[in-house]
Amino acid sequence: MARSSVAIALGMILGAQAAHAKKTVEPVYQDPFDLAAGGASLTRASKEGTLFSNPALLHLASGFIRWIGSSTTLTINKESVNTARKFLPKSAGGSGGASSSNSSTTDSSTTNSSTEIVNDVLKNPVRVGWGEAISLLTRRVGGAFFSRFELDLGAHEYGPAGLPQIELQTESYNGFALGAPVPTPLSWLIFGVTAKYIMASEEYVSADLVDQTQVTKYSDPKMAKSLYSQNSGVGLDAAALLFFQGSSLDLTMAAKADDIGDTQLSGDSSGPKQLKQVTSAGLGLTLHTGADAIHLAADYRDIGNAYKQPLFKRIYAGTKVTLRQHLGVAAGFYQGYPSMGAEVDLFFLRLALTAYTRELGDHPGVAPRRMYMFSLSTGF
Amino acid sequence: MTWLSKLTGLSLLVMLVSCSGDHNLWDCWSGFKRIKCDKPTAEQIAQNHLNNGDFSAAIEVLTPAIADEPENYARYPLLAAAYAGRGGIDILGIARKQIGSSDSALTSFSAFLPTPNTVDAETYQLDLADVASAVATLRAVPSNILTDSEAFPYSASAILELTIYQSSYSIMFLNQFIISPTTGTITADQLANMTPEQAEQVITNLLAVGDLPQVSGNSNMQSAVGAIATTINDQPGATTKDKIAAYVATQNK
Repeated sequence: MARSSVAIALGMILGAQAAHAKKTVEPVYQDPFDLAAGGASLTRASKEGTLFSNPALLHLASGFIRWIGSSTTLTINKESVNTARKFLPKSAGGSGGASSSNSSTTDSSTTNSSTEIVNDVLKNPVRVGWGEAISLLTRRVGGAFFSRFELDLGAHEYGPAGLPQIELQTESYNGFALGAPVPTPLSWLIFGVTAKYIMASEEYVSADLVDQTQVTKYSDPKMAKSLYSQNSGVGLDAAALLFFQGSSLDLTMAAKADDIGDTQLSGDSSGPKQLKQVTSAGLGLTLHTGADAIHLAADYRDIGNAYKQPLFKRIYAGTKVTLRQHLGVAAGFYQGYPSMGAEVDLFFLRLALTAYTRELGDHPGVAPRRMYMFSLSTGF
Repeated sequence: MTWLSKLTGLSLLVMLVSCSGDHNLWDCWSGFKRIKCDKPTAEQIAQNHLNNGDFSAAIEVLTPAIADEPENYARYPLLAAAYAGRGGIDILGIARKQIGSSDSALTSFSAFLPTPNTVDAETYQLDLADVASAVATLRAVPSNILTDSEAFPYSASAILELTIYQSSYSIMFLNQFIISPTTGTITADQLANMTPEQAEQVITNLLAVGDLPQVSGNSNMQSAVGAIATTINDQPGATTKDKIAAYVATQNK
């Protein structure tokens, strides 16, 4: 039975239908620590996230080189972790029931275990992903290669059509971004621009599990192309930052236009074909001493609601506390769900752990994915 | 309290609140009460109830929603699924058996229906009524809509679902007369309770499966259930009830 389910999953990986847009109001690449702080990054972003959130922030770096290095992130949802834990082999010091059983008992327990695995997979979504960025950020200019991929496999005993349904969604964004701040004669006003070359793909396939023929049609190898093919195009973002610095309190306001004039993407993938122009605004407050700081930030994304997203997906807010510039904790509300995380800076090594929830549905609670993200960065 | 300490307090508050649970601020049931909540659609709420096994709650959500908007046909398959689920049909079992087995479709899914020996007589009749409601719900979708994949995105799934529920109802209706409530074996003893009209109803139900439009995935079920009707009709006997008795005798061989 487990083999059948794996075959379905593989079969579905080979199939593709029209994509449901997933990346809408968010940057194409986000730093884990920014996600931990609710994804509110217009007025304060970390490392390469600066290029995608607000390039004007590069100008606020304390030294010439703000960051040079690479970051790798791994993401997995909570349900997958729980399922893996449940089926991990028990320790040798356990009851030893399996080893003392006869072969028929072993076969029976194997079957039960397989059935249990299938039931778990059917009831709990699996979402995994990885990301990679190599970047050089200075006070004048910054560039980054980035790549991220997420795969989501979900099944419902009762899908939207009332039948057991399996869904596979993928989200892949790769490319290069080059950004620069543009200072003005006014010390408190900074502009910024980011040019980006994006290769993107978002695929969505679904099948009624009752219908074998519907599942089988996805095993056509010719259909695999749409999964790994990507659309590509060049886009431009522009931002403005108002930065009022005090002795212990900074006020930051930001305005940003992503994908000015709509970024057109072309290629063989079913989507996306276009990234719409989105205007956003952010507000940040920073309470600081010489080495410690508390940041509070809120973003209101897609003010014109180009993507027709509900309000909870357009408001991001959170706080970051950085201590001695080597330890950071963050918390916030990402798409209305609580998020949190921590980051440790060991000079040439940064470790970050983030927990956040992403809603794939159009209302809270429809298809939430509780994600854990681990990030390892090397650089300085 | 100075504004600096207020800011620090606010930051700590955000941290505390965000660590306190995993509910969405905009959630209508467990979110932040001072903001206008974002309520899922009736279909989404019902689907959630269905996947939690709360079929009656799904029926309670969908019945008034359909009454309000009878032409929102996306709700009908979900309501039918709720009735069928409450009627004891194990749809996931049918799906998994269909996938993992080379058995006939009929054999595959008949094991996932309530039988007279697994529930008491009253419950069996309630289950049968629920499955009948599932069939009636889907049959309430106008046939020109049901078969139009452009007007009704779930048309193929709904027809497949109707095939399953009509087949299930046909088999459950027949089983009440041929399966022993005590032993679970097929027996002619129960047939004494069957009226001639009920005998005709057995055949009508079985043939109704074959009359449904063909879509991807339902032909095996149609063939399998249709074969039962054909086999019964081919049996010797003056009346339909006699033919069913003869059919039962062949099943016992």
